[in-house]
Amino acid sequence: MAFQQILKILLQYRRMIVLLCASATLNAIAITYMIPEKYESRALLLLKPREQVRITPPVAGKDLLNFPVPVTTPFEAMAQTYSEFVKSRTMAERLVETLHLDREPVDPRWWKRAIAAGKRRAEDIWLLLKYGRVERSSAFEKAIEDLDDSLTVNPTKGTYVFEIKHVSKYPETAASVANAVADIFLELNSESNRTDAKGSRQFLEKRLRESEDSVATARLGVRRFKETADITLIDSELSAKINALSDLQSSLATTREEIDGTRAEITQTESQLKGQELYLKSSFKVTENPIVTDLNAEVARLEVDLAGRLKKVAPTHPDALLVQAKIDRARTRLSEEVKRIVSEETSAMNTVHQRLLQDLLVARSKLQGLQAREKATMETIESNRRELRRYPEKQAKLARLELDLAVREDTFKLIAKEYEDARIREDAANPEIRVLSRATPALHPIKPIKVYYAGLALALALTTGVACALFLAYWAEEHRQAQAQAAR
Amino acid sequence: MRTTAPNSPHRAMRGWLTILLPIAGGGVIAVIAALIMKYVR
Repeated sequence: MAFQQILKILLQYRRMIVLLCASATLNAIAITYMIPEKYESRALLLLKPREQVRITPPVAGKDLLNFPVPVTTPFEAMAQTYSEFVKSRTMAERLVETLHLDREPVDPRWWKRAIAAGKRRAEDIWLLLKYGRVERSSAFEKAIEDLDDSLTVNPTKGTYVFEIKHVSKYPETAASVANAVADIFLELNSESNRTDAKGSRQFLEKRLRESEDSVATARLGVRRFKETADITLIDSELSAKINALSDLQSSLATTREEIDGTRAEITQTESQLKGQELYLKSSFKVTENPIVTDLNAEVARLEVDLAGRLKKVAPTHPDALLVQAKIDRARTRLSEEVKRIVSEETSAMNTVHQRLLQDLLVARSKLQGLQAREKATMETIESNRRELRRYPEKQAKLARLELDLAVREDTFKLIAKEYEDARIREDAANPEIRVLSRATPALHPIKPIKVYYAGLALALALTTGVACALFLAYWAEEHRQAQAQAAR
Repeated sequence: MRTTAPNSPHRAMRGWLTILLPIAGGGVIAVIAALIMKYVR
């Protein structure tokens, strides 16, 4: 179809198109007056990261429900959290109560009131269709629901600023709600922080007192045990006892050696003593034996007699032989007699014997002394050993008590530091969030923008008009051709 | 092209319809435009 033909058809149906466009535009404009106007106000909040003063070193990681949370929380997540916090029911209830949002102001314009009433009726019908009965929610609940729809919190991209936006039928309400949200949010946040800090401070205060008592109890336990077990410095005492035991043992060995030596000495002395007489001959007088003298004289006389006889007779003569026999007998007797005899003798006490006896007595008494010493040393060693056997038990118990005390002291130190931190946190103001700019009542509504409505309606009407014109032209042509065929 | 006789009641009604129908259609279009504006924006 040529452009001129289309133009011709459009011109033919121009009245319809113009009427359609004019009606649509005017009706759209009329509708904009019936739609309630919406005003928007926004307040800006600055989220200022702040450094906390801490005594204890910061904990390496955080966790939430036992799951690790990244150390650097993304700003979006934080802003989203605040957004949800702002839109929470607690916040909404507080807002509705503070600003009396559940009390709808009565519009002075009758037609606005009529539209509102119609809208309520429509809502009732919709409720009836949905649930089969009409149960209106209370004005308070409705205000909370409306607030949820009309309030938005958005982070401004790339900044630490986020905006609280409220849309309302009244510009003043929009501004006051946005400002109230900012104020209540700051207040709740601050209150929440302070409550948290206060709660943790109170908890830590209680724990600190408990820990202090626990440390005092443990200290008392250690002191009492030391007093009962008679210990001051267990390691030094133990070392001293071991040294003393070692000394005693070496002393015992020495004593035993001495005992052995003394016993040997006693045996030696006793054997020496056996060879000694108690009394000793001190002097004696020796004289010639008178029998020997007589015999010598007899032998000499007989020899002289024999010599005289031999001069007269032969040696084999019986006289000579007799004399010779007498000589032999005398000599035999002489050999049998000792030449000298002790005529006088004096005895005295044996000094060696006495000396040996004295030594023996000394040695025996020394042995007795040494044996007594050995016995005493052995008793002392046994007593020391018994005491030493008890030491490991004492040491273990003391170590247990001291370990317990050390653990309690460490806990106390930790809690004391945390307590100081909690006090600092509680005292600190809340500069984390502050209002950057407050909301002001808007002069113009954000919707409905009349020109947009009129423009869209005009565009739609023009499209529909052109489409209708073309269709009607086509339809008329078809009708005409059918009639022409019928006439033929 | 005309199928009815001039000055007939049928023609008069048709004339009115050609006026009223675009006006009513304009109303419907305006409502559609308003709904579009409400839900699209």
